[in-house]
Amino acid sequence: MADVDRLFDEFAAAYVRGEQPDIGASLALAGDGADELARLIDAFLRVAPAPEPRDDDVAVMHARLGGEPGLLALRKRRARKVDEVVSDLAELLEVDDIARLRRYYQRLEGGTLDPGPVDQRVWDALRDLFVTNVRAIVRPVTTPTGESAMAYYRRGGPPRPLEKRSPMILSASASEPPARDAPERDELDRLFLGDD
Amino acid sequence: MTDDDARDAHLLEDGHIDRLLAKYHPVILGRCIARTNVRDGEDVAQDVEFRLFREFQAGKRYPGIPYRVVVHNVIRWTLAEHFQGRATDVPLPEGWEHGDGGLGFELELVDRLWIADLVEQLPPVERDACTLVYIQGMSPAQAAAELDTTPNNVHQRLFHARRRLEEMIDGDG
Repeated sequence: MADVDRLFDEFAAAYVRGEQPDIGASLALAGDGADELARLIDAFLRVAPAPEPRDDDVAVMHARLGGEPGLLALRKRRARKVDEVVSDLAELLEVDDIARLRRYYQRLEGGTLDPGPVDQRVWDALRDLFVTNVRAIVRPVTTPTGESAMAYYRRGGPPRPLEKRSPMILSASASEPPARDAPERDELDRLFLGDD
Repeated sequence: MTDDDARDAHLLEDGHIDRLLAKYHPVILGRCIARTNVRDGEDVAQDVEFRLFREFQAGKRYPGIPYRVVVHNVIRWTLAEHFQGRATDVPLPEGWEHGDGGLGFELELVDRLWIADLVEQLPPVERDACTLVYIQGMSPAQAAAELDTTPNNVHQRLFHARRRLEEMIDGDG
């Protein structure tokens, strides 16, 4: 219970400072005390005044309501190119395959990658790069009325790892369909797709 | 009404729904996750935010009711729908109506996710142009700036990508 109390105190203090604490990470750290921590947080959020949003938060919400990915809006606000972000991300995550990392990042930023299985190390690195809780910003693609695509990601089964080289679709024999078996996941795949 | 409630009322009156929803986003997301789990909570939170947005777009206003109360009620209703798996029968206040989510979105989402999967299989220069324009919604000029090239070059990449996507789609069919 001491851990739950400590985690709740940390959550509440970060919330009051306007930091948008990562509740999922807090609940994961709570282990068996997750339900108790969730009850405390729910009760706290029912009565705690909402902190004034930062300009970044407003810009991200404005983008999301308009159907634009929030992380894309944030990156544009920071005037950073994809390659710059990916280069920094590669350094923080100690990844060598920049091309494949770039594609994963672009899918995450564009809302076409389920954020659920993405490793906490990626979120930590993105928090360092954007100085905000990126986990609370990234959402799958939505319609103009905001319906979530999550269910469709889940319905489609686990995503396939990205090929290390782009398949030459047009050079494939017409009588021989491309192989459907997913290649084995490496460390980079696992960072963005999880272990399943 | 507190001073904070009065500020919210002014924001709503002045049409700053994005600022209001940004303010309540941590509350909405936090409560929805706390009451469910991370995955479901994110879905429900998004539903709450777009429900509030649709109500605003439809001209709904809440005279005399602090906006925070509206937010917590919509969280409660949306969670009830989530747990029951059907539209809630909790009555809305007078003048309110349930948002019309429609069903057309399902096809649109499946299409977008399918296209995103096909785009992944394009050669890198075409894939990047398609991702920026067709998936992230940039204009060709914005994509050109992002890719350090000319808008004309982006148009050409998109043209070739479309040809290739058509062949891939025909192949799937």
